[in-house]
Amino acid sequence: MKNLRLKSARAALDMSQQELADEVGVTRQTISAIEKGDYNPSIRLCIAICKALGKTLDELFWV
Amino acid sequence: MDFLTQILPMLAITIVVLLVIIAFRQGNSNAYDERQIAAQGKAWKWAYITLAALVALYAISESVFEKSIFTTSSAILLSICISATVYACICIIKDAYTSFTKKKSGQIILFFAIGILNIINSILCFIDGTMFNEEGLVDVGICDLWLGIAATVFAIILLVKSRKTESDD
Repeated sequence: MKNLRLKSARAALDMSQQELADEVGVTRQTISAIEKGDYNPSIRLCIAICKALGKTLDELFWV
Repeated sequence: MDFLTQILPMLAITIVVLLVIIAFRQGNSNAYDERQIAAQGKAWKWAYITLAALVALYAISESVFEKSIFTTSSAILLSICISATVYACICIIKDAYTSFTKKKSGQIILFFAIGILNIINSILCFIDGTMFNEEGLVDVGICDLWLGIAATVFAIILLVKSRKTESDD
């Protein structure tokens, strides 16, 4: 299932996938895979993404 | 020709030694993220299954037909090369081969170098007649040919993928 909330939160900050990837220490392809729903990130990565985007886990990853 | 057959292995060994030294000097810069590590794990699994299947296939064909086109050492080495190819293919397709701290261009150049060196070496083996042994069985020179073609294909795939990534950005 696509994670559109993550994509919109990133776009709201005018951040590219590469910038977010650099911020959380992963590849751009990993961010792309999470947004497409092809990869389930670990809780550690979820928290890192939430911190980078200034959102809570509920806002970005709660289904 | 003899000069070339002596120089090429020396050149290949020198390149490998230099790469090992560079890798050690870089220390822990080979960083892979969690998705890449998971993809590498799956690739290892498929490479292992491929190796086991190929070795079993060779053993069965040896016992059933009692005749083979490969020498035992070339069959085992070729099985290892094919399983390594499976590992690299899966990793490259899933963007898990190069760490995110490394530049892909270095990897592409390395693959092209390995590919060209191995292809030249296998052509020389073929011309010298060392690709086959006295009984006409395929010898270990076949591994050079396989690795040469595989490394060239990997370089092309990485090149296409990096171009695609640039156009996506």
